[in-house]
Amino acid sequence: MLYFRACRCKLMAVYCLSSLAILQVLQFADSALPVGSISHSLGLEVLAFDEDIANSVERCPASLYSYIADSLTETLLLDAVFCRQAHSRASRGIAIDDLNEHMSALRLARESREASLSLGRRFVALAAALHPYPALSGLAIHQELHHSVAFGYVLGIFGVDPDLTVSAFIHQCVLNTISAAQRLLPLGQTQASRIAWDLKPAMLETLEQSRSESVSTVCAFAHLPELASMRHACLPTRLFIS
Amino acid sequence: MELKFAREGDCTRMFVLAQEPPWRAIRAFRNAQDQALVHLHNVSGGVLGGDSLHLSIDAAMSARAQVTSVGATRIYRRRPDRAAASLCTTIRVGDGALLEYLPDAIIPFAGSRFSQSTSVSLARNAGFIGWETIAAGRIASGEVFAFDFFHSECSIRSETRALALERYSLIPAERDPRSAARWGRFRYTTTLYVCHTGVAQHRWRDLESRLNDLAMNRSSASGRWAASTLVANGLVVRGLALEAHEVAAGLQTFWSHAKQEIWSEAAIPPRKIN
Repeated sequence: MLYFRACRCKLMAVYCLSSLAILQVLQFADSALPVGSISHSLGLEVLAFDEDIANSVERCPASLYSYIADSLTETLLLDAVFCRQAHSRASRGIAIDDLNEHMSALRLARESREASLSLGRRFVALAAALHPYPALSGLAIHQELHHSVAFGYVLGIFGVDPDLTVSAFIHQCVLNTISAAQRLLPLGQTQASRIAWDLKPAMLETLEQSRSESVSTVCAFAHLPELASMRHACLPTRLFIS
Repeated sequence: MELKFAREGDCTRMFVLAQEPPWRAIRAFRNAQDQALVHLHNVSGGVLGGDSLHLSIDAAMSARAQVTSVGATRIYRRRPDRAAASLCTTIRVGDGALLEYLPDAIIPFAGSRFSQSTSVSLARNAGFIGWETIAAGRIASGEVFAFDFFHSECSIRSETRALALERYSLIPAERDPRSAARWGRFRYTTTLYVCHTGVAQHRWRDLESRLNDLAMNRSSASGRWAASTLVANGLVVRGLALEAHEVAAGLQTFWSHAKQEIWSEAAIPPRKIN
């Protein structure tokens, strides 16, 4: 009887810890988290301007869906792999300077690179303000800290499951893209929600692939979005910082 | 093939340390800027299935060299009994040296499988200008994204950090290159790197701004251009175009401006044998 009670208590403790982790992840992955994500389109503003993503009411949803689905196999996969690697380093107490340098070299477009660095720094600063982990305070002094790396490392410090971490980051990126699209394209609320809903299998495929790739093997081809990000500063009017 | 360029007095000499078929470098010419201009020949006419090619270029201290090809690199259809073709290029630029690596376009034929890697190492105060153009196929013959596999890796590093890294795989049958997340509706993609480890970052930002003004003027429905500073010590220009002539003209423009800004020299197009 006592043994049964001990097992039940342990199970409840595990359940409560998992619930806490889920709540923490929900907050960190919220697209409304005050780190500035809402100000960055990461080149989407130019793609919309150039009509590389269809801007008619009829064709916009399908065009945006295809764009994000394809991004999940390229740039978002890259981010997912770095996020996972950073998470792994956090659990082992290994530094992440090389990951950030690597990511800086991969992000050729200056605005996208600076956006990622800005989001990364602000994310860690917020996390450090929310919970006094010494490791977070130490991380917050880094100048070169990319968003995907920061996200993975912080959630690793919190002991969140790696798959949950990576899937939350991917989900956040997708929702941010859709949110930006709603301000740039004729995309209604229900259509936006439908896109996010229908992309779940693709997100899980990216999650799956992130398990088998490493930062030295992951590939990404995104010349048009990259070029769009480079051209962003030259737009006649801009809603977004990048 | 292994080439070494070394400064001797007021000129740069080329030394061929190794040369095996299909590679051939006949001689170096001296251009108006005292650069050693070399044309790399592929005597087989292209890259065949099973080829494993290696190119090493070493520009020693204060050397000035320009390396180009004599025509497009054709990646031929892979035969079933042959492995994928590969090309590994290693470039080292020494202290005070300048190397311009300006090959013609790469054209992957239908059914080809190809993998390439390019590694550039820059010493202190070293300069590197390099470009690469990839065609979607033999466009004029109606071959567009008909190749099987095209893998590319590129790294440019200074003594202290990586400046630019690219790694991608194109498998048209699995992932449509014409997606807005990849190539879009264009048929040529080109990249120009301009690097100098002895130049301050603010100069690159100024150059980025000027090149982007040019890029906006050049961009149209048939071609897009843009420039961006790298994380340090350089800048990249990216172009996507529907026509090959737009690529050639654009590269010449950006190269000319960048070389004038950073090196205060004119860009001399390599004299082609054809």
